[in-house]
Amino acid sequence: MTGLVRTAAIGAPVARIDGPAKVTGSAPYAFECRLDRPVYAHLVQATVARGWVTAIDVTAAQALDGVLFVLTHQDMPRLASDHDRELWVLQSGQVWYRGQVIGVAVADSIEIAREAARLVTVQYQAEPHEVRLRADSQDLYKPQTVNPALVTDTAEGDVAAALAAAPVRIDATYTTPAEYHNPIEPHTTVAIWAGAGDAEHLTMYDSNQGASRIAEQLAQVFGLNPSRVTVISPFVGGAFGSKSRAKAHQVAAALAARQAAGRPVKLALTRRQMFAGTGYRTPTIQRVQLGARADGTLTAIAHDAISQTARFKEFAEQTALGTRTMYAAPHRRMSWRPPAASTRSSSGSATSPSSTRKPACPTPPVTLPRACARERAGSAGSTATPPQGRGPRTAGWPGPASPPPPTRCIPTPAARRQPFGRSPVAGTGWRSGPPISAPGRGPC
Amino acid sequence: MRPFEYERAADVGGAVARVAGRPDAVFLAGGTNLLDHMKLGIASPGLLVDVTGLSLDTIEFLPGGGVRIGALVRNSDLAADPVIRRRYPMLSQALLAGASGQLRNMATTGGNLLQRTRCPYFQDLSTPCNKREPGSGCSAIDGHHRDHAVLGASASCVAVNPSDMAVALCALEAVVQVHGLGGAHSIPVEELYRLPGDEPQRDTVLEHGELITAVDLPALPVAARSRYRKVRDRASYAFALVSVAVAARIERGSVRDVRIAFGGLAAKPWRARAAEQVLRGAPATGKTAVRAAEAELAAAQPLRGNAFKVKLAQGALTAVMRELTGEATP
Amino acid sequence: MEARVTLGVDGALCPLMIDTRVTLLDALRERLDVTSAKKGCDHGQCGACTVLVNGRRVLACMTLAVALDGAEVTTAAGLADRDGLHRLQRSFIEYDAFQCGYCTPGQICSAAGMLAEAAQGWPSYVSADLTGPVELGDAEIRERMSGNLCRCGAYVNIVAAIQEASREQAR
Repeated sequence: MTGLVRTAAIGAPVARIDGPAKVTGSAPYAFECRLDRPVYAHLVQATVARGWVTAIDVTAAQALDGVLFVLTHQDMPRLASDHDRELWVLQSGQVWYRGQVIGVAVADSIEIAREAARLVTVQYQAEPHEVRLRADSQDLYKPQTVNPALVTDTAEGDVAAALAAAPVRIDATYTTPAEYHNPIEPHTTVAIWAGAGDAEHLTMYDSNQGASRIAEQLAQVFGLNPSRVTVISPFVGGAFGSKSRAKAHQVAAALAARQAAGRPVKLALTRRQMFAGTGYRTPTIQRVQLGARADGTLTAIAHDAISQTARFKEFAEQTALGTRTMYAAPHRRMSWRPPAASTRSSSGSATSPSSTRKPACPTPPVTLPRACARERAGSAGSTATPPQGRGPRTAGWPGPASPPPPTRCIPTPAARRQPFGRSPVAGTGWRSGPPISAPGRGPC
Repeated sequence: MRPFEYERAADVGGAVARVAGRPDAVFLAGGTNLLDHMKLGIASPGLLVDVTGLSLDTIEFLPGGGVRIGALVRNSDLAADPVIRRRYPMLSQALLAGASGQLRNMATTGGNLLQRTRCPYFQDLSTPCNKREPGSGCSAIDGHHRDHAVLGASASCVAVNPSDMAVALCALEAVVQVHGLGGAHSIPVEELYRLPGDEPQRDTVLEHGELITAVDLPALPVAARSRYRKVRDRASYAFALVSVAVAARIERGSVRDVRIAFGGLAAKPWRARAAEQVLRGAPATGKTAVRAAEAELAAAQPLRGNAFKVKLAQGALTAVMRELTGEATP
Repeated sequence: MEARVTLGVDGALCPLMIDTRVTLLDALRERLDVTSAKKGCDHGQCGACTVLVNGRRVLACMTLAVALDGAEVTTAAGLADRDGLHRLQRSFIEYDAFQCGYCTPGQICSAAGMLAEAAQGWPSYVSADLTGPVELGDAEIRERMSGNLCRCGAYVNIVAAIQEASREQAR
């Protein structure tokens, strides 16, 4: 006979088990893992927004005492896959955005690597660029899908007619600025490329939101069997969405590690670099038109969003998704139009519902006769489309605290509980979801 | 950062001679501005002469009742000094309005005076800047200039002086003691700074190798009733959009004496003599304060994106005058 | 160029021959294996690198190691006393004053320095009376801790934790 489940931790006021490690500073983050004879990498970045590197001179940089090498696109072996153009690092002289990685200086110390990067001289053929988001841009286009794989435009009923006939009408345009995640721990990674042939193995101690996914992406980029790539994410100093996918710096570190004869290559982005290659939330221009009856019931909703994306890699932010999934009306239209701007890739969607909704529909500065936005679709007359993706399948609509767009689960190797702190205990680490992790193996 | 030599100075004369003798040498005190610039690549000295061991870290009375502040007194110690808090409260408030607790513990009086503009184009090697590279252009004039100058600017530079302390020292008519190769001399704070004109690369009148040794505050009874108000985008830990330092003696509803300086408006702290003239002898009312601000800001030449500073300055002055009037003797 | 310097770090004497360009922060993290001070911005803006030098809170990223010959440096790792955690560390845990933990050691060192400053009667920009006694209400704590950023947004609990520690200090 079974009784009620007795819980010990659930429901009890438990202090965080990682508390003592964090308040004494002994919880290890990626850059802090104890490794033998590391070298340090510093990125060289493009200073034009668009164009070509026509000349890049590393002579002065390489002449510094303590510099191991300086990588550029010149004489750089091809990566195996250009499936993700953001990770197509040092493969050509083409510049897609200001801040793009065009070189990596590797040296015995942070100071020497930084100075070496500074001494690299670059000449560009700059091309005209567009970095201001404008509603009248000539380059607006309709993406095939919006992030992650949703229908771009939807329409039900006759929005124009319903708006024209509505006794209460609101027509307002809102703009939101670009925003940057800027976790307090910058993006950091340590890459070790060891062995050769069958024993070749890439190991990364990396600050990320999903070690498995980073490993998958890097394996693909380098044409490695996934079993040859291990990514360990010990403690992570915040991410907010910006560390969920591999970025150029991880590829850069791995490229450097490949030449470093087995020595660990440590790379930490500077705070300034955090604004160039780690993703961001697109600025938006959103026109919201609402039609309502005198009692406040919505009869028509039109939400047309303009956001921006990069020319070399599309990320169509699902700006108006909240409206589509949460607001019922007989006549609705949502559309997305990014212009292909000269910008770094977006991939900035945050992981929390509130921030997903934030760009979608800021509260209009007018009050409808009666708040009615959250009525369930069971109310008379609604023929609206049910929510997309894998939300909870209840009759009607998700409530105000609905989950974000479809989340993913990634298979992971089993975790073993480790003591916290930086002891050299072997084990397997894994991560998925929010930044509370089991510690990784080895020196962390 | 290129490699550099590091030395500790044993005395003022030696420090001055060492730095004056090498064009690539600089003084190091708190380092909170210098190290930032070295990491940004906009300063590349070959020799740092550390002056923190010199005996310039005391606050003493001068004959005549003034106060001499050693150049190496840390901002936090100066703000907390009982004499400063009682006799020159605007100076204490100005210091406390700046930076963060940690930075105030590190920064020195001399270093605070000499800190450079935080214009983002000045601090970015890849954007043209006449202050950093004469003749390369000014990126701020047609770029982002919300924080920039509305007074005293030129076609070559619209940067603003970021120091809060300097604004209070300007209002207090402080005098800077300087030691150079030719010996010691004094410069009123107001004359320490240059407006950009055609040479925005020169922030101050100091020659290479000259060392600030102290700042003298005159005995100034009116300073005992003073305030520093800083207006900024955040409640703390941000530079001023506009700031104002005011000392006023108000008796029977009239302004008997007043000193005013504005921050955030120009490449130097702005002593507001026109405003003082309107206020001196006039009723201590909001109306007079508005007239005073208008008189001072009449010469303002705002840019497209910072015209709000004119009204903001007016509001700040009016608010502070109201506070001081509220405390005045009836 | 290199120079000799001896630092006292969390109670240990550390003689170093070090590149003059190395900041105290990088000396701690890369040369001395003391990673309790964190690098958040390296430009004196975030406060994650806050340590105590000769008892005062300062930013390790804006200090050259060579300039600190003979100085005593205390990081969050060195704040704990022999019996366990510092009262600030205990209250940070009790009040759940952190999430990712990266700003936490700097917050704690900064708070320790700040409480000492308040105990000496130092006013702040929000003090109503520059010469009166210091009362550490929430507004005072926020102002005095404004140099420590937390991107996870644990500020509310950080203030509560510091309040608790300051009450404990007063007892």
